[in-house]
Amino acid sequence: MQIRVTLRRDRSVVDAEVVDRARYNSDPAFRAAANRALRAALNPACQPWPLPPERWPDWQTIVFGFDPRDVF
Amino acid sequence: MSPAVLRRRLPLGRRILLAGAAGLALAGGLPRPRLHAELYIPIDEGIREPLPIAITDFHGESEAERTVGRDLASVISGNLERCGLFRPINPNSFIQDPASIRLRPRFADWRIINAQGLVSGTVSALGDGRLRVEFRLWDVIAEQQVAGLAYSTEPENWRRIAHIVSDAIFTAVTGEDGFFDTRIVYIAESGPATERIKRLAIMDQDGANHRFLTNDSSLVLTPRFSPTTQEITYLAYYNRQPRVYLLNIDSGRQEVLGEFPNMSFAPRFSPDGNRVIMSLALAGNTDIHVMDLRTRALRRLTSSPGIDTSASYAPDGSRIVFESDRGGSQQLYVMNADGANPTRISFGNGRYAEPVWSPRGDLIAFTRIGRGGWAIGVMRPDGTGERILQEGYQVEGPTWAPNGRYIMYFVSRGEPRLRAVDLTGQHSWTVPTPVSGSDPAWSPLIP
Repeated sequence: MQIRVTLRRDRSVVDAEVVDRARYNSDPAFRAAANRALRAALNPACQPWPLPPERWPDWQTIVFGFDPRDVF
Repeated sequence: MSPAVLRRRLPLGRRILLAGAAGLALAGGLPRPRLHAELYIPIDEGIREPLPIAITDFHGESEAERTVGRDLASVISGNLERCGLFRPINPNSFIQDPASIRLRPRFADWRIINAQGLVSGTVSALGDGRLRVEFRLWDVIAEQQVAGLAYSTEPENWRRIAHIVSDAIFTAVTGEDGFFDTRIVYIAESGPATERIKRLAIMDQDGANHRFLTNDSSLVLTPRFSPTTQEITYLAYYNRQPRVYLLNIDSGRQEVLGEFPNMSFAPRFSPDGNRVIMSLALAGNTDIHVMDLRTRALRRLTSSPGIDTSASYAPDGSRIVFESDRGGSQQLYVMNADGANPTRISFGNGRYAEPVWSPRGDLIAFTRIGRGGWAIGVMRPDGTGERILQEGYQVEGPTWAPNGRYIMYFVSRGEPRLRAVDLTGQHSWTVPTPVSGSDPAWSPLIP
């Protein structure tokens, strides 16, 4: 499951979206996991993100790929 | 090598995927023009942080309705906190009152107290004496409703409604089936060791609605739930002879599952509920047999010279895991449902016992007895991926929650007590019982 997060130069989040929208709309388990990831990305308590401001071009868009296989 | 594997092996500084066809194909998304590079960060491990959730008292117009509303919130809060995936927020910090949430939550008020989820609801008495309970689960960050249901029921069923609502919240947040609307049967133990009384008892998974199912005139062991009906199979000593019984919880009807001339033990249902698999000792040799509950026909599945026992079906009924000392020490084996092709799957340090196949089919829980002590663990059906979830002096008797994400077991040191643990092994809790408890069995979701 992947989410794409777009960030402002001030390290706050502009938007977070699920990459695989089709599966998000059809798979309840996937949707629940994706919502959890989106909540984490959008959580205002976690902003601004601890990223180096001078390297904003490198991190202005980040794709997070979640793989729970190693958790269980 | 798949792109995902390739990316995981790159050092962080090189995990930058260039925009364009290649990058988008790796991300698996729709083609969208991007003017800058995307940083890709794989996350394949993590520290689980419980979801902060605000559970408000359900609103009612009358004092009686508000009392039920408070009780509902209390049971839901207890359920969600106990499972380890949620952290209910202290209601004293709530800013918005339950009555005004009915119109719409003021999400900013809930973000201030760091709530990410919000549960609200109403209770209203219907003209026919029943209660109507409505609930909504809100995503505070996204400012949207993610679940909502309404139920009408007799007032005495309010606890079940709380468990059903808890299951709906669990499913909406995790994507997994819940396990709160379930019951536990176990062996209630009392009295001194020389005159131990062991009775069959049943209760909700949170310990409420406790009652004894048998009296103290017989010794009862190994209760197991039917996966399809509200029936239990168990072993009881009658006139010093062990017999396998079948008990319907709702009707109280009990029957002996056949008179066996020899010792019988470890009965367990097949996934379709039509058969019971058990061990029988014949001529000094203990083997696994299966009985068809409709015809009462008995069929022998193993014939090794060792002790074969504790059999448990895979959820699709195609295979059986059991313990056997045929190889010289007590180990786990998997065979086909007809007894063919037994294959040893446990190779760790120590002896392995009491295997139970997960309702999801992906794991087998077991008790391991080693030099370092006892342990509850899981492994895949092919024996790989063994993980120990709980260790301690005499932890034993695992039983799965119906969603295959939690395991209950008992600690037999001193006065025995019931415990439960999640599949990470990081979160566990004591299951309350009014007397000492052992050998729990977790029911399927109540229909």
